[in-house]
Amino acid sequence: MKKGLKRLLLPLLLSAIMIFVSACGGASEDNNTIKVGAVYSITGPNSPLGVPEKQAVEMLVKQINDNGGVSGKKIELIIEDDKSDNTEAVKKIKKLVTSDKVVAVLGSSGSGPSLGMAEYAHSRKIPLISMAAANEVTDPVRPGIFKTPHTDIHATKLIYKFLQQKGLKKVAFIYDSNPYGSSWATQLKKFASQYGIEIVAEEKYGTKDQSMNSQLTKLKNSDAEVIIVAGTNPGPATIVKEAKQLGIKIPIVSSHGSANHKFLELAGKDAEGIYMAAGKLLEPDQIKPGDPQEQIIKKFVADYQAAYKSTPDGFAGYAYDGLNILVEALKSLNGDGSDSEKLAEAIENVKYVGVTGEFKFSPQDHNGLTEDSMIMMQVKDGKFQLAE
Amino acid sequence: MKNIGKGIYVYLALVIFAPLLFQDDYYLSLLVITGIYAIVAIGLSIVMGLTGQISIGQAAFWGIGAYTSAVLTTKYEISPFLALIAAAIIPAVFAFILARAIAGLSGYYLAMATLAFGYIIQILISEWESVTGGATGMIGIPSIDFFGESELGMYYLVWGVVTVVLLFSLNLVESRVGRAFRAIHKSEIAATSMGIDVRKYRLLAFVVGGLFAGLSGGLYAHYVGTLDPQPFGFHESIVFITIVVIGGMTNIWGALVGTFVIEMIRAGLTSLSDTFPALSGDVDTIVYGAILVLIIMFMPEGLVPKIQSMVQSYKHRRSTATVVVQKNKERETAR
Repeated sequence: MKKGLKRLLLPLLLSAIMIFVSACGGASEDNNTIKVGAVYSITGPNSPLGVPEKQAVEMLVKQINDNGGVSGKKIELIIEDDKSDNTEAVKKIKKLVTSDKVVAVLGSSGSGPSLGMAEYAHSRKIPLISMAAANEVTDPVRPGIFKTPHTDIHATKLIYKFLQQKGLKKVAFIYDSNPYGSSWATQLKKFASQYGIEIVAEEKYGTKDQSMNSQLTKLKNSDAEVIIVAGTNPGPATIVKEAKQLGIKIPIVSSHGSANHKFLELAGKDAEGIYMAAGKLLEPDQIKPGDPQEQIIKKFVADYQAAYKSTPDGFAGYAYDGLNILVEALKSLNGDGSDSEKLAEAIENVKYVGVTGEFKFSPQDHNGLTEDSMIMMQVKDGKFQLAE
Repeated sequence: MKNIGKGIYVYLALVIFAPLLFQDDYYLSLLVITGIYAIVAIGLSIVMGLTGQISIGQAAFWGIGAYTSAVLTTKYEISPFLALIAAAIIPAVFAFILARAIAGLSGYYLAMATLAFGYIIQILISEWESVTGGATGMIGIPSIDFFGESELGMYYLVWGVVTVVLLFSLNLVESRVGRAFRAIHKSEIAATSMGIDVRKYRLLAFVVGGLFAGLSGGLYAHYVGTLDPQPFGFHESIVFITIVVIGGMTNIWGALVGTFVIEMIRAGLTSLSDTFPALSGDVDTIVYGAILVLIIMFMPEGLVPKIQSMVQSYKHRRSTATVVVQKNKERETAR
């Protein structure tokens, strides 16, 4: 039997070496396309984020290529699905970087997958532009790692400024135990003293909880003047409804995690009077004339509606901006993205007015946004309107 | 060693030369992940296949191992190799305590208890924010420097561990302990009457399973570099059980083959989904489910034992055939 084994080993070894040699030949480079990778959570729990993101970039790539591409080169976008799973996301970025040899990667939708991808992208010095909310993606700043969404810091600052104007000082907050809610809660606590805010109560709920009655009763019995809700749908809608049932009269402020039309649908009449810190994309009609973002938002909304017959939400906007920022950087390099370090530097120098906000990247700031990119809205007559 | 058979040489050759076939990080990463899963699966096949105890909480041990190693290296700056040892020991301690607590349970009750344990650990991980980072998780877990911080280094480290775990388990199966395990699986009463300390051996199986899962979890943490509670729940526990059932519960090699089958389906669907977009997403879960049903219906013993018995019967037929031919020849010459 030993002989049989040797007979098996030799061909195995030879074929291995042959494939090894042929693999070293190097892939033929096509000079007329720029390969860009993207990982979104197209399926799984994050799919409400990933699907609009995918649609937005697909639309944009088509537009760019129809208009002659980037410095004469077409963009080839390779989209992968991470199934809202961290391990899967890391596998997918490795595929994009080493098999497909992309110049940069966009994504992913969720914070967990994005953080995993950022570790790899950073070690391989491949530029990554994430669509995830978590502040940790770009804090601390790492070369080549960027993100486009508003952070919870922007929302916190905007809300606290608003409360200062209203003269409200005693805050209670309730947050979702998911990454979005808990990371937000940290920022709310961190910035409170800077704005002279006193946090009198805090409560937490599980993403899948059906009722937050007991937490809200505790908040009601505190001497809070305002309640801040940090969560993603459907949690905030449930909270708003139950608060009404419990007879809570103080103002309620929610933020970008629930700032969409789904919230109005879920909360119905009880949404009336709720404050919401949101991106300007939420209600394009409410943008003040002369706002620098007015043009691009209106164009994006019109294009998206023409292509998919639905209104784009913030997530579609994050992805749209992500690719546009990368394109701006590539343009400054004459469409040559082969040197990752130069590309990362070029992204750092991008100044771009997008649908999410006015991006001004710098070596110290890889998010590029300020709290001015968000606005305070209030639900009136079943619609989001600028809050006074 | 002599009981293990020739399979081990083929296995070693494949493990050593596989990286020559796969040059890029993506394929290597598939193999690394396969190895990480295989370590857990081998441990689970000792618990489930050998002693016949169902554990629907294996991902919890995996998670404890991952977080142990991550916390030790990021917060206390301990070397990853030492942290890996802790990542194996602490889940084993948890497994010991769990096994002590549920020693009297079997069948459905045991399954429910391990299920509950899995949930408790996942909730503990997401709520113990000061240590685990809560739902946001941990980032910047150092990667292991095994002849350089590369995909290839990680491949050889992970598969080195797989090999050690595999050899240990194969030897265990053929030892006195392994025979005791199998006796317990067949009938606890019979085993007790033969003088086997059933409680002790069931405990031992659980501890070994927890130890392997924890070690694998530690490797996972350093490999991915970030952690959050998401991968350590019910879904992953079910994937581990699926692997073990597909490969064949009663056979240690089955765990390895099962892991390969599952990972190849996953990778195959990924590359197919480039041409057929309908195959993307959660289709793999459906395929696993379908395979699981087919396996349970048509080969409940699993892939590896089935193939083994097919090879055996083929050899048997061939040897009888040669005997007949020889006899005919002898008759011819005699004439």
